[in-house]
Amino acid sequence: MLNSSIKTESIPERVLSICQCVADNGPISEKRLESILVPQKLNTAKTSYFRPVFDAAKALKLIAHNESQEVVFVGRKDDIRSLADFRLFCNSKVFANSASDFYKIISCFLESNDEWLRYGSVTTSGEVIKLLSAETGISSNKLEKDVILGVRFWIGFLGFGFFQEQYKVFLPNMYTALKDFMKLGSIEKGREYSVGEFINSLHGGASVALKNALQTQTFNLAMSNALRLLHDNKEIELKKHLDSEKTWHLFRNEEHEFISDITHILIKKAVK
Amino acid sequence: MNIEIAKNRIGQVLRIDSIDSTDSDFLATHIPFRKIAVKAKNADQIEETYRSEEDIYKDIFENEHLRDQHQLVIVEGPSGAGKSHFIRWLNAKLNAQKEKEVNNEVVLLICRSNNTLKGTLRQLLAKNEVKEIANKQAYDRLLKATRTISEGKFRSTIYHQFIVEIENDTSEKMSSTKRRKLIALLNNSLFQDKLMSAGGPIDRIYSKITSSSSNFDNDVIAQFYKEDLTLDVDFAEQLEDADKKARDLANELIDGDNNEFIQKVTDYMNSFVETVIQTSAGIEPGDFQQIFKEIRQELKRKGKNLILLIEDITSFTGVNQALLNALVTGHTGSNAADGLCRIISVVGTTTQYYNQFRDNYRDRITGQITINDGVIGENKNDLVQFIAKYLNAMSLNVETLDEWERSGAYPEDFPVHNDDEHIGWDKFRLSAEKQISLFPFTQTAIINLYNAMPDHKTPRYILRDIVEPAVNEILYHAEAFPKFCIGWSSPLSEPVENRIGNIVQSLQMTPDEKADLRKRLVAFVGFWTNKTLDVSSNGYISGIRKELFSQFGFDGFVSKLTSLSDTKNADKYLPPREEPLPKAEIHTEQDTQAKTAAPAYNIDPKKQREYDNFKDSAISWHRDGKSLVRFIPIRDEISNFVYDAVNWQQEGVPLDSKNRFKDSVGGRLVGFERQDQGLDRCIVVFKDTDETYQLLLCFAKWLYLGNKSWNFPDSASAIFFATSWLQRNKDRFASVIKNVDSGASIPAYVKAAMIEKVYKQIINGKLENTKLERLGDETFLNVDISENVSEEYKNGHSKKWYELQAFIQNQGSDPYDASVRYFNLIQGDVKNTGTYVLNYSLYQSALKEIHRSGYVIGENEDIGTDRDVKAKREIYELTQKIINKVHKVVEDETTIAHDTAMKTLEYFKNIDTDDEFEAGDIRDIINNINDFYQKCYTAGINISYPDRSQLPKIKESASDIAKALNILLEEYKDEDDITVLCKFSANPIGKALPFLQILNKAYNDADIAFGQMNNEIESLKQKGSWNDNIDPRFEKQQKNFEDLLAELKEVQ
Repeated sequence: MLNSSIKTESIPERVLSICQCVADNGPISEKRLESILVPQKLNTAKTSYFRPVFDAAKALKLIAHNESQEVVFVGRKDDIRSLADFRLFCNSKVFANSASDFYKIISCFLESNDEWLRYGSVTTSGEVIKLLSAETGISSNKLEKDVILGVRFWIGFLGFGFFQEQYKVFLPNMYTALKDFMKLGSIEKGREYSVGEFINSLHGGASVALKNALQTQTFNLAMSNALRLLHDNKEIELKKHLDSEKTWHLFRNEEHEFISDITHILIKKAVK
Repeated sequence: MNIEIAKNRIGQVLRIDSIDSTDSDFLATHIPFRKIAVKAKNADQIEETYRSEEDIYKDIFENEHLRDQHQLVIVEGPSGAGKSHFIRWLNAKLNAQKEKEVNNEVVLLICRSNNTLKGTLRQLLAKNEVKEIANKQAYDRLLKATRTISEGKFRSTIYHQFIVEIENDTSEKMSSTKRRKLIALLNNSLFQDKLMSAGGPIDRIYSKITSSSSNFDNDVIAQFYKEDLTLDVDFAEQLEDADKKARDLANELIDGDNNEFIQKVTDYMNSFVETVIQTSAGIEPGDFQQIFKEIRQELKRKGKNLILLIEDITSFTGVNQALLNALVTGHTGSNAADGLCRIISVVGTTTQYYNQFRDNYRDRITGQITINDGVIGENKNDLVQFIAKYLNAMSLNVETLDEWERSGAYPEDFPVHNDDEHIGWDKFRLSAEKQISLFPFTQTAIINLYNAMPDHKTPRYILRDIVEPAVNEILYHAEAFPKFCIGWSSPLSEPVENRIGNIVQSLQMTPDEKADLRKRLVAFVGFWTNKTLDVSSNGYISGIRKELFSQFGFDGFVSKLTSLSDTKNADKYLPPREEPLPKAEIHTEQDTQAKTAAPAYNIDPKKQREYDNFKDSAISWHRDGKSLVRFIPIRDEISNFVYDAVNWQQEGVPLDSKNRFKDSVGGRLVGFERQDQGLDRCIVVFKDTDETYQLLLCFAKWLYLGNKSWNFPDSASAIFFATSWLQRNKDRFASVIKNVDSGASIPAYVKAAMIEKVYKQIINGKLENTKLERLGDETFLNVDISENVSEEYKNGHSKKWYELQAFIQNQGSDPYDASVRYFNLIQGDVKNTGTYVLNYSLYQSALKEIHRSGYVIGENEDIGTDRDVKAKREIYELTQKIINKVHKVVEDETTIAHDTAMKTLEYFKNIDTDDEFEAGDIRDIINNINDFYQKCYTAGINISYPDRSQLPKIKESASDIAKALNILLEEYKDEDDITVLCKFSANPIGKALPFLQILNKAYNDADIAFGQMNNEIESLKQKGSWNDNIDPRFEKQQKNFEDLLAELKEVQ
């Protein structure tokens, strides 16, 4: 996570759980914390998943050690009240560093549009692994064994789309993530933004989904689906002003009211 | 179209087959025939030439050489070729010419009408020429026939008339033996039922004489078919009890090698058809010939000639031979003496029936016309012209057309309505000067609508199903247009249809208005346009002028569409407006198959067919309101998608809970309104909406076209739809699978599992001295407990207690698994994992809820969807059963406790029931008992002594025993069952029992010792050695002791 290596074990729900436990019981020794989180009698596996989960929570700067080497909660309790709060918090933090593997991999997933669909399972597809390896420098073996498997939990959790677990196929639609970036940004209800203004008013984390958009004025499938769904739900209104200087393009969808071109976005509902 | 005129005229113009329709309307809507082959006898040679209808007319009626000659012209062709229409056109043309010219021709047209003998006779008898002239007796007989033919017993009359005819047959067409056998078979009731069944030969003959059924096939021949008389083995076996002769013949009619004989019997039966009909209808064979003879004689007297036009000879079934005989009779030569007028007859017949009589009349038939035009839609120009002429006739006054007819109905004079009101609509170009407006159709619409007709693509049905409803809507309900074709199979591609739905969805109107507008637009764009939503820069939308949309209230849609569209690409699709016909083609089945194959994705044709079949089902469900059939594979895929694509843990649904739900409910997670089976067992039912329809098609593509992948054409759009649908419905699914009441944190089954765990531990003696409100990890995050087999546990509890323990132990460990797994945070979708990471906050909330619960679950609690999930329901029901058994256990346990306590108390004179036992009391009494046994031992009392360790052990446990006895002494009437149960979990009765047992024993032993001592006294008394209650042996021993003591003192 963030700058650390991506592990399968540190799924978001576990990271949240450890944070909530520390918030309730801290300061607490690591040993005691582990005995609560990983009850010895129930964990029959040879290894405990405590360490990677602990490290992820620490990397998110939600827990830390005090001078007595006890574990204390150092975040805001509001950020760990629920999975949705935790997701919003994560979206505000995890894409701060565009050089991180996590950022690059998520960006690759989003830029793939519908191209990876023909490869089937993304966790075993040679083409996908090759592409991600070239982008991140992570070895193919590590990508296949750990990284992609781990990222799949986070990409779904952070709201970038759905992951079909049985088929290991990613279906991009960042409706939830975009709403988070709108909420974290400075989007105002009732205001009509040009698409450029809209993007600039989003939280910086949204850059993970806009890798090529700024140069080409063309949104990827994940972002296009999110904008269309927000429009269909009447949370925003996509617009096409014929006299507008700049036209942006959604990923083409012949079935939708907006096949491709948009110029403005009217915010109809406050983002919750 | 002239709306005002059309309101009056539509009814008149569309009476296509009615005798009442006027000749002017008929001629004004007539489309010239294209393929007419004429065979004429020239000397002994038959010559075949292709002629136009006008030429044929002139050949027959205006040819100077033939005008006064007898002619019998046969018009033949396959069913639906237009023979009847051709003859009616000849009639109209003759009438038009008659208006123009003075001539001596009497034209008699016999329409097919209902194509029954009854209808035809009525028509004939209504003609003035027949009424005035005909032989009175023959006329009356025919008239009577039209009245007396009733439907009631007529079939039976026909059937039995065949038997009568065969019985009286003197011909040698069939041997007498065979005839008798045939009569026997015809008299068999089973055989009669077979021949008189619906669609059978008697039914055909009956229908041809008189029928009120509009479904009756006009071209059917009233005869026996070979198949009618071919029997199968099963039928022959049913005749087991029949007359032997009948059985013999039946065996000869069995399907197999007897084809020749069966054909012979069929022909034999058919030889009686005409006679049977005449007899049944009460007609004399000579009546017909007589009537026509008299007509012709009378016309001859008046100096006139007869033209007889018969649309269909088979409408004279029963008298057609008589009719033909009348028609072939010439007026010259040997017949000249009869004084008959010349007759030109033109007779329509199907090719099939013509083949039956042709040879008999070969020399008498002067001309043969074969019409091969086929169905009107085979030529798209004819089709458009056909509808154009009807639209034109509706817009013209009767007077205008009558005037044209009176003037000879020449094509060059044909009147055309000039439509100034509906600008921009397609026109049919009749000639350089004459163009007919197609409003409210486009040429594309006419062809597309024709293609979409399911069957019966005949002029009658084109008018009934397309022209009439469309024009009526324009005249009276233009706002609903084109409602008439809304339910028709849309030729629109799914993307275009879905986009229309999406654009309509964004308009400001009510949901009902949206639904109505969407349906109208799908029909309009699908049938009237080029089936795209392209907007061009010069005012064309979907290849037609924008104003055409406006006329039907589609402005809002057009405005929205225009604002969204890029006109640059659409301009290349601008239609070439000068082209006489649009690009829309009339489809054949092969075309359709060729177009649906999508080579780019290499889709298996079988899978494509499966998709197309399902799509048809979905369309008839969504558009026609039919039941949804063949939906289960798709429904299962949708459910699987929901199970698979949602990260349940992230939605607050533990994976174990989801898995239990999925294992039990499976595909029934989703259901659809009006699905044809099992709707009541579905969990989330989706209504019949556009979105649900799209959902079904989306996953039909995933299943069939993508073979369970998104690898199919335009899957990106499908993914947008699927993910959007899931996003919108995710919470709904999470709610039913999670099934947690508001205010609660865990579902009923987990609560039940956790409570079960508490009872299991209590009953197993594992919850000692625990405060129920503090039960925690030791109870809920611990390994499942095994059966308690300790000695301390085995005795003491009531029988009911041990029965409950056995019951719980026999249930297996599922409640344990359920309660433990519910709080484990799993990665992926692993069902059984050894790793455990606690869902901390959920577990904490659950603990609070369990503590608050009082460890009971409601008797009739609504457990929501847990009721539908066996693996959840059973846990809930098990806990309910346990709780139901607990009360009886408590009753029995406290009763035994009370008895034990009371019995123990009896040994303590100083302790009252209100007092508490103390360890000292117990130790004292044990000391006393110990002394007792010591004395007994010393005294040599013969009793069973307790084990040496027994009394010290009790003494050591005095404190526990006192506590246990105090528990037994308590009053439990007002306590909860769980509290009482918990108090007895550590088996206080079992702890107190050894003490009570030693008390009982000591008490009994004291009795024994006392008895033994008394016996000894009595024995000594009897020996005389017992005085004053002192044993003499003590005196002697005392003396010995005192002596010994004195000696010892001396030694000191």
